[in-house]
Amino acid sequence: MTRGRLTVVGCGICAPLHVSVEAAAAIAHAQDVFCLAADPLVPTWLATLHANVVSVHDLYAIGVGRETTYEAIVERVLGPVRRGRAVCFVLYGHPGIFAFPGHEALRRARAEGHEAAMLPAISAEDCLFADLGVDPSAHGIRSFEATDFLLRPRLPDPASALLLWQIGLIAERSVQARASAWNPAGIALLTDVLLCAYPDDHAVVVYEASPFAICGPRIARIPLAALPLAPIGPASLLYVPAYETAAIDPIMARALGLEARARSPRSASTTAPSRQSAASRAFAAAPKRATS
Amino acid sequence: MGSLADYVLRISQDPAAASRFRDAPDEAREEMVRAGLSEEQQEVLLSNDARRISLAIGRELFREERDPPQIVFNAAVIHPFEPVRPEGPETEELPAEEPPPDEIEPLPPEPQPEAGVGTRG
Repeated sequence: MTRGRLTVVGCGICAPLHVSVEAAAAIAHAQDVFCLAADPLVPTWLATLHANVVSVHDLYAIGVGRETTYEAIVERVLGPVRRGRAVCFVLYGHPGIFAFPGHEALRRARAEGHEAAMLPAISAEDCLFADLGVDPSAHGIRSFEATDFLLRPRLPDPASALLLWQIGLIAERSVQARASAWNPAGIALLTDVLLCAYPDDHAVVVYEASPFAICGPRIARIPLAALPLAPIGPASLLYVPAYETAAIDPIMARALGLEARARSPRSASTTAPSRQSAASRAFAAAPKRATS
Repeated sequence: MGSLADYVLRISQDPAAASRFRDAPDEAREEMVRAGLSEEQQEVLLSNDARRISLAIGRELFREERDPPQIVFNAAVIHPFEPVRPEGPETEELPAEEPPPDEIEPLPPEPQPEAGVGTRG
């Protein structure tokens, strides 16, 4: 077997400003470059780095399931790898975040004995943290694809921030040729679900990172109940800030040798048993060892 | 007429120029005039609307009258009625010295909250 090499890289959201030195070098040194970008400028820019850039955009078609499209993309990318060539596959954003074709191409390349690697890049989530000025360490953050969030109900956790991806594409398995939300009914349903856990007036953010250096992100701060009326597009994310501060688990605090300080205004006044982590319950139930 | 794509690409490779463009629209307009961009092209770029800019560049690059292919997205395929494989590396057989999963000591059963405690209405 002829051993090829596949490097999967991301160009960030705002190429070429977001492209790492490492990714640019991988592109420049590849023998073949494939490109999947939401921004029409990216292939033009790539052509300044490499003479042999092929877009896989033509494999998308309205009405064709994304599974079919992804399969075609993966096989096109792997073609020259199987002939022993060094291939770079460039995706927008981070190549490993919401990017099935990149992961699948890597998996198959490795399974077939080829050299394969993925390089990190800047994702829409990274842009969101910077543009909204939020730090995920403050309350923690839970992140889901919007359709998946609805299909597999999770316990609500208003004490953590919530990030929902692709709220404009809920339950959409193909592509559509419009810049507004592809499934407004799905957004209405999502709103109803969130209103079970958050108040109507909880301020949420509909966010789109900017793919161009000459303009800023789209940021719409709205009350949750107004979400169905928000300017949502295929690239929109929904950021739901934490509504309350998680209460301190006193058992765990003692186990860690920590003393709780004054509570914040919205923190719960007591720690209900259901709020204790399984770990702390196990700790409380376990026989204690002497500590020095 | 100048090229939107060429202009935006040039600005996008120069963070200082991009910053000047956003902060000083009048200067940006003068520079766009020097680049040969039409009034209509200037309005598009000054709109601060990424979707509008993307469509205009796409039309120019694809040289089509109709809108270019829309933005595409690459979320993991969702199979609503099939179980999803757990994330992580491929499943490997446990080493012989590891106890099988059903012999691992389970955590104590979780205490059940009293009626009305910890529930959300």
